[in-house]
Amino acid sequence: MGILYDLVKEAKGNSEYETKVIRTFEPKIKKSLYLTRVENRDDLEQELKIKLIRYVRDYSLEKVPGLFDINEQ
Amino acid sequence: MDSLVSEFYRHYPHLKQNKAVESFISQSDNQKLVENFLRQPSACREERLNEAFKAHYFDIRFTSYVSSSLYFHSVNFDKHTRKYSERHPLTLDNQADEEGGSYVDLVPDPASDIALFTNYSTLMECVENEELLQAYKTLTDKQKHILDLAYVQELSDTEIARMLSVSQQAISKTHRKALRLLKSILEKGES
Repeated sequence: MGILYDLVKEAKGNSEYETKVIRTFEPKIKKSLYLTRVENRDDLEQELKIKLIRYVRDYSLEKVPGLFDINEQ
Repeated sequence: MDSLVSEFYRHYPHLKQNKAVESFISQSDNQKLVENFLRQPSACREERLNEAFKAHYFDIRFTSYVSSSLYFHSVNFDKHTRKYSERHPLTLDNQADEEGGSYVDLVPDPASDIALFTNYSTLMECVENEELLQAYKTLTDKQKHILDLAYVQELSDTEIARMLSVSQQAISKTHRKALRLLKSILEKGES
């Protein structure tokens, strides 16, 4: 655990890490492809990868609460 | 180690119900951090513990966020492409009549083209004229075979030539000769 945190953190400055994040989620993407027809799967795969890059770029690391933030809630 | 966990929860009772905290504290690396922090609390140790938890918590949140997003996006994508192909069907998939048949059903299949004499394989079985039949019988096997192919199977000379792997000219010659022979025999019979 914590691997993704480092990858996403690094990806903010270095787009090579985005590839690593995509590779981490590859099984999930592959599984999602079964939700559409065979002829559309390549399109969907590309769409999902673009989405994933968006998430990596837009997901805010600061908003993740720390241990003591949760305690105060 | 259990005493450590219960001690931690005694200090922070609000964290007790939290699943993320539970999974965080069950890892031995994190337990060391917690232990260090509880023995000698300091700002630096608190920061390290906090950072480790943040990373742990981020992984959980990000993974679940991405997984559900990818799932919903795939479902939407499929819905979208379905709707699109429904509204813009390919020409052959277009509806041709009220019963729901599409144009693709109307395209003829050249392979299953039903020829008139498919039940027969030689002219011998088709020819009804007795004189012509007698004349036909006098031809050589090769001539008969070519006439069968040309008039029963309705093949062209070129196709016959390809089938028998000889030249088209040879077939045409035999073909013409056979017809001429038949003609002369019939004329002889009439006279």
